[in-house]
This record gives sequence, structure tokens and C-alpha cells, in this order.
Amino acid sequence: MTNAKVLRSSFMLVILAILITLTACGGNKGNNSSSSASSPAASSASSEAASEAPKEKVTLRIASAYTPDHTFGPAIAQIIDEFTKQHPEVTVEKEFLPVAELDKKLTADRAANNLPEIFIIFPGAGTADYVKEKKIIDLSEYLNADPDWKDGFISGALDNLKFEGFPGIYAAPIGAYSTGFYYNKELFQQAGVEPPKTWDDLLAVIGKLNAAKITPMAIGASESWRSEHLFTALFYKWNGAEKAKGILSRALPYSSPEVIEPLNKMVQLVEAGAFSKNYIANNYAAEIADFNNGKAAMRYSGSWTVGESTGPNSPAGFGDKVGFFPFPYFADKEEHKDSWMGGVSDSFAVSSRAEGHQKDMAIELVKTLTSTASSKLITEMAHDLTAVKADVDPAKSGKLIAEVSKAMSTGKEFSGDISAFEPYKPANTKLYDLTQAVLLKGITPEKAAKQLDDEVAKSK
Amino acid sequence: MDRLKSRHLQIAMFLLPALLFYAVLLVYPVLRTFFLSLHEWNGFAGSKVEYVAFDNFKLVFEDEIFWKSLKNVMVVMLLSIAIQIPAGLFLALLLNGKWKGIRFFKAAFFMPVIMSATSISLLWKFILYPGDGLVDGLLMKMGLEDSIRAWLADPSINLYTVILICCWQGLGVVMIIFLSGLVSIPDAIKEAALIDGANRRQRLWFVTLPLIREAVAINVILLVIGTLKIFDNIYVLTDGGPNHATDVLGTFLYKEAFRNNRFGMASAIAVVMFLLGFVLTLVANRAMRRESLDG
Repeated sequence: MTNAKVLRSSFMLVILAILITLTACGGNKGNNSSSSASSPAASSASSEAASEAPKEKVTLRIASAYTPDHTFGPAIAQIIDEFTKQHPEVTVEKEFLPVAELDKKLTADRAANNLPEIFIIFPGAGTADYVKEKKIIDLSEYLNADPDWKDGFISGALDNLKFEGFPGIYAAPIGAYSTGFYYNKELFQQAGVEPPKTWDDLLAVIGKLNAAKITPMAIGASESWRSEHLFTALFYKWNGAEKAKGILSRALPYSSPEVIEPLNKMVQLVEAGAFSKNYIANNYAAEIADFNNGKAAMRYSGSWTVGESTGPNSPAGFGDKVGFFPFPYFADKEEHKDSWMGGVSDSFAVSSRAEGHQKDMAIELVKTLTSTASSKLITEMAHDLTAVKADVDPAKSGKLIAEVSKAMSTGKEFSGDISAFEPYKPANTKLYDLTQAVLLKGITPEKAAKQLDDEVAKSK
Repeated sequence: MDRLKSRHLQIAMFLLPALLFYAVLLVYPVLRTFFLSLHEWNGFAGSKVEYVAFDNFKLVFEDEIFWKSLKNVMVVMLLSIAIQIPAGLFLALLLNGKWKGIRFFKAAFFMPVIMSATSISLLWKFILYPGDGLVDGLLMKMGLEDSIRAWLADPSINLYTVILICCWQGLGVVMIIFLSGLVSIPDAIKEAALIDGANRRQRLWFVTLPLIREAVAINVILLVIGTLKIFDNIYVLTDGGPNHATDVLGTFLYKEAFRNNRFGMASAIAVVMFLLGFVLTLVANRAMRRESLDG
């Protein structure tokens, strides 16, 4: 054998090896997809077989935002601990991350076909993809089999987890929220102002607070979901919640006055001096800190604020100084006075990858997490609303949440983030970026609306 | 002959694992990127990969954020060169002497280079934290409240803040390359200049600088390539925001792929970055070589 021949044969060997690894990768992919596409009948048959057999050891991965810092965190940890005591064969692996990180993690897991057995989803267009791709299972069969569980949810909550064209209920909600203004009663007194009812009242309050050298509002504007929430509330108060469906159906282009006017109102707030000088630098944590330390008189936020301002991480006694009023309405749009940003939020979905006893246990854990007993524990520990009815002890949950619940009962329609109505992902991302840019006065409402329409035009 | 054959086989076997890693982790993804740039794919396993010819490139070039990102990259590149070359040279000249504690300073200035970009960025995020950070705290203590800015959030300044942080981190490499250039200058030449009566400035300008041209060239090329693909610092410091004020090609690519699920378009951006890097390196190389031939 000549030198060249040896070289050539070793080269061929290397190429062969590369080809083998590449085909191995491809083959693996094929296996994955065939296993995930296995018929539901087959998987339910295997689950029956498994439940008769002695309990096999299973591992459940659960992904959520319930880190120890989250208001729900301590209660959820306690519920899971008790669950694993009752089901010793189950090992629960918590994949808990802050919301923004969680979203990225789930996107990656979804791409890699490696979704956890249980994970948090939010109602809206983004979640519909999970349903379309059959990544999560329909829970209605299990809900119907257990009326106690099904009837535990607050009225209408499960409707949020139905998706057009796909019969069934695709997750069990735990989080519920309403949004409005939380204010510091002491600072309001100092400036001699009362909680405003209309938008003009709010602007007058801002003026008086400024005159008293008190920063009117805290906002974590460096995080774009803050501006998206503000825009959502303004949109509903201006148009009513029903109008948002026009975004989904494309009947309502972004350049229409219905969208531009609420954006203009955001600019109006900035120009009225509602925020501190460096509001654009503040993140969400700074928003909480500024309000809790009495550096700002108001926050527009969700009911989770109650936990943030009365819970263990807030200054002692501060919770008693906090009051609540609904988002002010526009005097010439009084018909939308009771349209609120709120509804169901965090919901537990079960991955279609779970099989046999693992699947049974996943459903059991979701059932436990969304039981009325768990809801009571969460409400009392987190001082927050949930999507499940519970016999809550007001002495434990605090006065503020009761005040919020009372105000909330005047609401006639509740709808979540407006971004949930934007099904095209790039436009959805832009919606966040651009509401933030408008709030930072980096772009005019008209230009922002045009950019959004341009992005939508790119979708097929 | 048999011995030679078995020896070649042995060599091939030893090379195989490395070559495999190289092929699977580098060659294949690169080829796949070129392939994907001509296709539309949402990144999810099992979903359709559709051939769309050059539509992705059209999407990229029509996107305002692409041009903004490109402009930002160019600003980062030019300012990095303008800051790091003189600053690195200055440090190298200082550290090219023979005085006590020189090793400590060499290590100290090089330290940020070996730290991860994420740690560095988080560190600076704390230093620049609005209100309670070190910088704002110091300014307040000095009675300079009015000069406090939203260092990482204000779109009119945050790109410069990011650039300064990147320069601070990268300076060590530039310095070390200059130092190696300075060390290689023969003592005889320096002594000759001294005997000829050249003063400090003349020696620097007419002797040292021309002799470390190669080091300048290497530094410029490394900075061009390094800044073109900058991602990690910006991702952690500002995430490209607010409203793309600090987006660069790397963060733009990342967002298109992992937030907007447009992997085809993201691959097209990667191809554009590759071509840009290729051309710029070629140009920088040519320019530097010509200069050294002229000189």
C-alpha cells in the first residue's frame, strides 16, 4: 500500500465516521417524533396497565416562575413537599425561573421536544401553538371525572384555556389577577388629594403631587411588559375589551385611532410629569422599591402588588398605608368604565410526552396544586388572588386583598394582556418594544403604529 | 511498509475524535446555517422547512432594525479601535519597563479578559444600578445629582456606556499583544537612536511605532472580528434595548431566532455577518500589509 493510498483510506474512514454520526442524529430525531405521535388510545391503555402494576418510580419535571422570591413561591414549595410525601415514588424536579427566563427556557425546550411534564402557560394566542402542535394534553376528560376539581375554579376561568378549532380545556389555571392603581395613603394626604375617578382627575392628582414635591408614579419602564400593561389598560378603558379581538382578526389595524389614542395617553402621562426623572432606568424591582419606600405615591399594577407591599419583603407596617382604586376612566368613554385588564394568568399544562404512571401523577399534581385547599394556602401566604375558589381567612390574607376583590366586583369585563391578541410572534415582540419606546418618548405613537402594521404585513 | 501503514492508521485514529467534534460542532452547523438562510423554519423539531430562495435576505435588508444594528456595530467597532489601540499601547509602554511590581500590574490589567463576559456585565450592572449603584452613589455624595443619567437605559448614551465596558474588558489583550511587539524590538536599534540624540517622543514616533506595526495590525483585525460578533456583554447589559437602541447584529440575530422563531431569517443574518467579517478582515489585512511594505 502506498503512502497516498493509506492517506486516502484513512480519509474515507473519517468521512464514513462523520456520516455515521450525522445519520445517528437524524435517526434519533425520527424516533422522538414517532414516540410523541403515538396514539392517545395506546398511551391511555398503557397508563391503565401501569396503575394496576406496583407503583413505578417516576420523575416529574415542573417548570414555573415560582422561585422563592415569587409571592406564590413558599406556598407552592409547601404543596409540592406534601405531595411527594404522599406519593413517595414521585420525584419532583423544580425548574423554577423568573418569568422572562422561563419563557426562553420553554421556547428552547419546545424546540428540542423536551418540554417538562408540567409547565406554566398563559391564556392567549401564544399558547394556541402548543395546542396546535399537540404539545399539551386536553384535560377536560379528567376535569369531568372529578366535579369537585372542575367546580373549584372561579366562574369563566376555564374558558380562557379553550382554543378555537380544538375542543377541550388545555390547562388548569391557578393565577388570577386584576389591575388598578395602588396608592400610598399618607402621601396622598400630604398632597391633599383623593383617589381619582376619571383620567382628568388623575392628571390633576399628578399635578398636585408634583406641586407637593412627591413623585406621582413609580414604573419599571426598562422592562417592556410594564409599558405593555399600561397600554392594555388604556386600550380597554378607551375601547372596551371586546375591541381587542379586532387585532386578532386583523379588522383593526394598529394605525387606527383606537390604538393610537391610548398610546397618546401614555405620552400624556409622561408629559404631565407622572414619573420620576430617571424612570427609564428603573426595572420592575426598582418600581416596587420606590413605592414601598415611600418615594412614589402610586403604581399601576396587578393584584400581585398586594403581596409585594404587605408580604415579608416589604417594610413592616407599610401594607396598612396602601389603598387601591380602579384604573381611571375617560369621561367621554364612560361606557367602558368597567372594562378591566385582568383575568386568568398562570395555568398548569401537562405535556403530551408524559406517559403511563408519570402522566397519572402529573395530572394528580396539577389537581393538587389547583385544589381549593392549595388556593386557600396560596392566598393566605401570598396575599394574592387565585383562579380557584377558597375559604380564605381575611385575618391571614390581609385587608388590602379584600379591598381589591371588592373593587374588582364592580368590573364588568376582564381581559388579559393585549399582546395575547397578536398571534404573529415578530409583531408580538414589536408590540412590547414599541409601547416601551412610546413611553420613553423614543418614537411617536403614529410611527410606532405604522411599524407594527408593517410587521404584520410580513406575516403570511 | 507495514509499519508505516499502521503508523498512518494510528495517526488517523488519534485525529478522528477531534475531527469528529470539529465536523459535528462546527462544519455541520456552518453548512446548516447557509442551508437554513434559504429556507423558512420556525425552529421547532418536526416542523416544516420550506425553501424560500432569497426571501430571508430580503426580510433582513428591509428591516430597519438590521440597519440600526449594523450602524451600532460600526460605532462599537470604530470606537473600540479608537479607544483600545491608544490605551493599550499606553499601558504596554508603561509596563515595558523594569520596575518593581510590574508583574502584578500586567496580571491586574489582564484580569478582566479571563473573566466571563456575563460576570463582568453583571458587575457593571450593579455599579451602574440606578440610584443605589456605586456610580450614582458617588455622584450624589459629590453633590452632582444633576449629572446622574440612566446609564444603561437612556437611548442617547447607553451604547457608549456599553462600549466603555467592553473596552475596559478587552484592553488586556490589546496590551499584551503590544507588549510582545515592544519586547521584540532589538535593543541595538533603541541604543542607536539614543546615541543619535533622539528624544523620548522621537524615539517613540520614529523607532518604536514603525517596529510594532505588525502588533497594530493584529490588534485592529482582532478588534474588527471581535466587535462584529459582539453579543454577550450587550445581551446581559441592555438586551439590545430599549427599543433596539443598543442592538447589534448578534442580538438582532438572537432575537429573530429565539424570540420571533424566524430561524431562516436569523441564519440569513449570520451569513451577512460572515460575509461582512470576511470582507472587513481582508480589507484590514491588505491595508496593514501595504503600509508595512511601504514603510
